[in-house]
Amino acid sequence: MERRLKTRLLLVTPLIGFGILVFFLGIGFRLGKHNVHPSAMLNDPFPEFSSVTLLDDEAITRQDLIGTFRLVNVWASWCTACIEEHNLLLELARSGTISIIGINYRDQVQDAKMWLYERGNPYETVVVDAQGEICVDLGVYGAPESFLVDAEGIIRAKQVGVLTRTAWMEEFQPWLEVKAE
Amino acid sequence: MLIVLVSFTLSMTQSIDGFVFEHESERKRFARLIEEFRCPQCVNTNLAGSDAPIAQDLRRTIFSLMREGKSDQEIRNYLRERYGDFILFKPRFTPGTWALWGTPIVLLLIATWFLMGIREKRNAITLDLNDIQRVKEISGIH
Amino acid sequence: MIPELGHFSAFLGLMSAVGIALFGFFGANQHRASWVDMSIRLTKVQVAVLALSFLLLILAFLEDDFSVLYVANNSNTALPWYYKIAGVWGAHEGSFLLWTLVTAVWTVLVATRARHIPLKLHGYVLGTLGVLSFMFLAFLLFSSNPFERLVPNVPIQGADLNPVLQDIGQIIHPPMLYIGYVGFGVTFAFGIAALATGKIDSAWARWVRPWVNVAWLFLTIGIVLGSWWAYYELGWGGWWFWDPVENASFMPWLAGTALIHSLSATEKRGAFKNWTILLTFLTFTLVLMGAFLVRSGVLSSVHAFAVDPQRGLILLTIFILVAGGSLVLYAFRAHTLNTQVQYWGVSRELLLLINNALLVVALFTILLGTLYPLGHEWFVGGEEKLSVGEPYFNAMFVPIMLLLSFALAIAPISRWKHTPMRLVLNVLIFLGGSAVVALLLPWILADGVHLGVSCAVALAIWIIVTHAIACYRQRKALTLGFIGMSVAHVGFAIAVIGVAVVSVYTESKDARLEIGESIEVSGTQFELVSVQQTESQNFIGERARFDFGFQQSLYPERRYYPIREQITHEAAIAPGIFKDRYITFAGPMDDNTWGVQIQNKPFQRWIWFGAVVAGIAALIAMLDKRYRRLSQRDLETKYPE
Repeated sequence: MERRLKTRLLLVTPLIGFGILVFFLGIGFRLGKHNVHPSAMLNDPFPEFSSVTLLDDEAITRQDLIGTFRLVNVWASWCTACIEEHNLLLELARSGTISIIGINYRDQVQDAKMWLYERGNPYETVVVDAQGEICVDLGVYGAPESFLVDAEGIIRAKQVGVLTRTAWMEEFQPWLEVKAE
Repeated sequence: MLIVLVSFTLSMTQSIDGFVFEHESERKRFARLIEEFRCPQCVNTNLAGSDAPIAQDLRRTIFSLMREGKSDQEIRNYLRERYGDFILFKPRFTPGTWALWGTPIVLLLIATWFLMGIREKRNAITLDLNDIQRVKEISGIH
Repeated sequence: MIPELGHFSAFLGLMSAVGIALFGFFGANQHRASWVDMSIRLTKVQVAVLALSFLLLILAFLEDDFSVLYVANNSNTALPWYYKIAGVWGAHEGSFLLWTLVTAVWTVLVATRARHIPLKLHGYVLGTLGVLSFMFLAFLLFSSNPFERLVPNVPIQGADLNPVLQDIGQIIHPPMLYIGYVGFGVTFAFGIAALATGKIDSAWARWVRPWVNVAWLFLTIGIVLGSWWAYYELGWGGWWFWDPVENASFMPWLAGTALIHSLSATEKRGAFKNWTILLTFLTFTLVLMGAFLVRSGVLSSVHAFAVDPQRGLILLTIFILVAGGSLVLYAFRAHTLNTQVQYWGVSRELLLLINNALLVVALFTILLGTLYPLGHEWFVGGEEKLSVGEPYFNAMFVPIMLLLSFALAIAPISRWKHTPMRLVLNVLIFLGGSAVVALLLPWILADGVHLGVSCAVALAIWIIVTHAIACYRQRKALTLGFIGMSVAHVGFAIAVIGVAVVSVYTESKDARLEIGESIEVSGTQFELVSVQQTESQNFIGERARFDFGFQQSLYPERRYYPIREQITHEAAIAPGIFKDRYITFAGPMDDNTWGVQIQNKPFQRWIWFGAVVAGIAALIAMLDKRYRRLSQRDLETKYPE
């Protein structure tokens, strides 16, 4: 009798294993829809850097960013996806919602200036990152990418890829409201 | 490179940076390290196999960290602090990955135990049911 | 009109699948030969209408009919005709039509070429294949219709085929792979039929074995082609990446390999019956899981098809129905097949069990590594993602394969039931000799000693030696089956040598060269002689000339495709039996120099050569007389129905 039970158990084992497999495939299927990038730098201080500004070639360091909430936006003139978020950035800058700092990632100075001239400049300052050193320190995936940095210089929100209106409303905007209170 | 590739957003292409190495061992160490990390921007490609801008930057970062005399572990930590565990193609041994590293070994042990069990049983039972039946038939016992 | 006809044709295929399934199952169940005959006839109808449907899609590609959405997305008037045809399976819809056609071809082959097997078994096999065919076709017609029209806004030009896919590899690799995948559907059907009839014996195993061998042969060739294609096309000399989609094709291959071995014990000794059945299910389950993973976007991969959640859901449902259904059947019916077989010591049965245990452990390790990031993300939350890649898989897979190699070397001299210890000790002696040869290898390659490589090479040489000896000893009574087994194992050993050596002893150098400068790699000077601008219909680029050795030249190229803003590196390879020279050209660097990477890859070809040898071995074994002779006799004596 016990032996039969054992045999029966052995025969059902593959079915149980299959159930577990389907469970994982199922959750994988659900996860697949909202594929988020991990944000290792969230709630960490914005890294130290020292570089020059794009437009007037002046020295700039992390110190210059501290003091108020800022939107730090990684962009480049070669980055086609950056065009998609440009209107939103312009809107945020013009309405005075937030001060935007650009990080010009691996770009030619002339091309970058031309790009801003043609499309409008939403940035209060643009930091030159010709070698991508600041971006590596920031854990950037690629352009475009946006960070919300608070008055103490802590990274509060992050968007990999194009900053959409939804992402702004859900991830970034609430922090500004907290500040206002 | 199996099934057809269609959503090829960033091509897997090869990386040439022209770093100058002092020793052959240094070159090999670099080659080994860039295979350990995922290109963050790409799909399932390591730093060695990508030409994405960030992959180039990370290779250069690894090269300069090596020059600064950092150990392999320090380099891994440096990248992990910035990109998370996601960038390590070789997951760290943490409570979250015990099952990943342990299961194959457990499976091997189960397989061994199973094979040993079968062998013992075969040794112990010299007569199985068919034999008993046959003995009964031959001797006329029912 | 033509696309609608193709669509209708596929619909007729769906109808025939219903008929094949119903007539097959009820014919078997009621034991009516005329019904099974009807099922057989319908398989011919099905293959004809699906072939027509496929031809019509090819025609739409050749005629540049961009009113068909699928054609507009995957073709272009500038494409040469052979890439237009390859474009038919360049994306999800068309490739799945090919998949259903392949299913129909396998079904008609089983229907006509397996008439010698008992009516009941034949009917159940056809019925199962009909059900599979039905599911695939329903999926095709209702969520992946390749004939969908793009009206009224018909584009005048198509979007072009991805440049990476414009290659001979795309023409032959996917069809081979699909033939292999669906071939395991046939063995799956045999497994279901065995449970349905409750009869699984040596004869059953003998009927299945040729089908397994052919499916395995095609899957092997498909995987080899993919690896070789990646090697020359992607331009950095990688040949295996442990990418989720590669794993999805490798797991059924491992299960299929285990099945081949388990079947040999079932045929010769009537052993491991339940296990063999389970393996037929497992192999096809993994095939379906692979299709789900690749076509649903669950795992990100460079190979993945465009993502569509609805398709993913349907594929998941098919997967659950087919795999889950078969396992439920197994849980209820399998015990009826249980038997006791005796063996002890280092018997062939034990070696086959070791082989199966190791292959299955390897398989589950790959499955674990592939799905672990998903599970981890679910348990921990999306903030902490994990990657599992090459270093993990190599660390796990390599030791298992070394263990497997050890068991493999003893295989040819092993006997059923029990192997005298004297024979085992005899072959162990040769391990010493092989180890000496393996340790000499670093001197030949003029490089440092690497313990892992020496172990692998020693075991591989040992495998080759023991098989040669076993074949020599048996020379009077050598069957094709035994030769096939030996050749397959030697092929494995050759591939092991290739993998071990190329992984460790590859030398690679990056450099920035001016014209006329040269660089030394593995004792050979490579001189950059000239760089020329190249131009073609759809790309511009530079082509370099490198001279090396005795008047040899290589011409690597860098191309830029403006339409897709894509850069490709056309590597130049000088293949050789003992080493490949592999040059990648990166184009101009900032300071008047040209970027280049030169690699020396020893024994690279051995990997694919070994795998192809193993594939041919499957063919040799299949031609063994006993598969034909016995089937004739079975027809007359064993089953006089």
